[in-house]
Amino acid sequence: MSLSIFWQTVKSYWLTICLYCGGLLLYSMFLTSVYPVAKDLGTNYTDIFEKIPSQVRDFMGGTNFLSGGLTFEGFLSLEHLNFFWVIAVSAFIIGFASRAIAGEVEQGTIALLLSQPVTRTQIFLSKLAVGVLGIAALVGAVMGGIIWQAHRSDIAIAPIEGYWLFIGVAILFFVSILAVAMMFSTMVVERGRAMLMGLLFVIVSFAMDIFARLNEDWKNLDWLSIFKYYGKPDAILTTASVDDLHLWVFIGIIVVATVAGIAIFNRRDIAV
Amino acid sequence: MNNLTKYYGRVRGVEQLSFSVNEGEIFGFLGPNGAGKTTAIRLMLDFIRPQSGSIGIFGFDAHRDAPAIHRYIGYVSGEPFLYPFMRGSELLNWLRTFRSRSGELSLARLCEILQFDPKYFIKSYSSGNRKKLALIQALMHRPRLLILDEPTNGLDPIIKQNFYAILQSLKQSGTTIFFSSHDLTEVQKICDRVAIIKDGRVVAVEEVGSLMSKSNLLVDVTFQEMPQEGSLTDLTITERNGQLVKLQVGRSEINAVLARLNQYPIANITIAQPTLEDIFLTWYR
Repeated sequence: MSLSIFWQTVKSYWLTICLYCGGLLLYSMFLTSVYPVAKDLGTNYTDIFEKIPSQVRDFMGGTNFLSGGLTFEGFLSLEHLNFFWVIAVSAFIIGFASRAIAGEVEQGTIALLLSQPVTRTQIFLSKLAVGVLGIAALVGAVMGGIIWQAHRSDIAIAPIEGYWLFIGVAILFFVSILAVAMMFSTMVVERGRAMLMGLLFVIVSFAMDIFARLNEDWKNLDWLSIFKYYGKPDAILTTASVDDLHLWVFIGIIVVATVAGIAIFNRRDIAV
Repeated sequence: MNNLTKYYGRVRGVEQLSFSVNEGEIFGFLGPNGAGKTTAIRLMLDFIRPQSGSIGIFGFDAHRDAPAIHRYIGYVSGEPFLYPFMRGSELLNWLRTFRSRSGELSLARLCEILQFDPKYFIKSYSSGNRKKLALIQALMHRPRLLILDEPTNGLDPIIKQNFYAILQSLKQSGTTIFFSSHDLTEVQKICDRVAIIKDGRVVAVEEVGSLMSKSNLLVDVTFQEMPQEGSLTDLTITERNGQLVKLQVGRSEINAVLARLNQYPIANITIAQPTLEDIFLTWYR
């Protein structure tokens, strides 16, 4: 890794990361502060979800609350952690990754980097490291916002071990998306195309996860979806346990996509 | 460069390109658009890889040892693309962190010579100022090899002169300069040797002085009366315009040709050394 490229990339992204963190922190605090209201609504709140088809409800997360009552973690999973923040953080990741390599090639600034005494592997890893730092900051902002606001509002939360574990799973999940998006970024010369490929990866994964729930014949499709391995946030938060296989899948995706991205970047011509 | 061949798909970049540059010289690299100049530079910098052939720089392999070589290289591309949201000073200070700072040139002095103010955002600079910034970043670490692709495009004449002076001073201190340009006047002025590239191949590598001394003389004759049609057909006539006839004459044939011309009434005659541009054009006609 090149520290020069790492710090320069941090400098050029710190404002974007701060804005994202600020937005997600405030939204997480807002949702946390809304939880007592949802809890007070009792069955009026859960009735809404009973009317939704079970497959869709299952996809939305927070499935335990219909039988076991609305917990704070179930509410968070349903309203925030299962869908909204995945979209928000993925948008940041895909935007960042597409700019990291394809954007530099498109803009022509890659020539400046390639003419410095650094390897292409160092360029790739330095940018990837900033992406990981950004993800850690976003995950930290969301979970920090939730725990802080829960503390301020005297909301009882599950044991903290579950929260730590979920932070780890979320970081691995998002870094997997980052590594794949970075790999796409090394393949093309236009930022827009890299962004499209990253978006397609997330959308197709998402679609396969939904289809797998809709029809028994398609249920094995979910093995191909990265969302299967993300699991159900409320289950991780409350039980503080996760299938080891899921973690290994994330690690596998990260390693394979990173190695492939570096190999492609090193082998390709960059005619700038 | 040794037998380098590079095709972009079916499009020829360079083909069996071979030449060498001596340490400490200013080497001009001439050719029209599409001749393969930029491809050769991209290959030197390992931006692209050849189908065959190899490049050695300071005893290193340009592909395998690229980062080690780049430590000693300064590079200015034909159209420098810089980060628009950085300030000039920010870019320069950042790029300084990639190399050892011992022996580097004074940034303030370079900015003064090239009349450049680095405190503004790059997006606000004119193309000339961006070129100056690109030159400063390439020069500031006192490279052993300076690769310049059309470096003076967009510079005003005064800055060009200052830039030539910097190049001469770097040359004195041992820097090798690879200078690709369309401006043949400046190449003639500052380069020790030149290579002419045509259709991806080098067609001539010569010292500038030697190239010019070996080339045909340019003879412009204005006759009082135009000689009869067909009377000068054995001479190499490049242009006829009224009474004016332009000839290219080999140096060993000049006396014989003058004797031939003297058979006709002459109003005016000039004999000139060809410029590098004239020589260059003869390769492309």
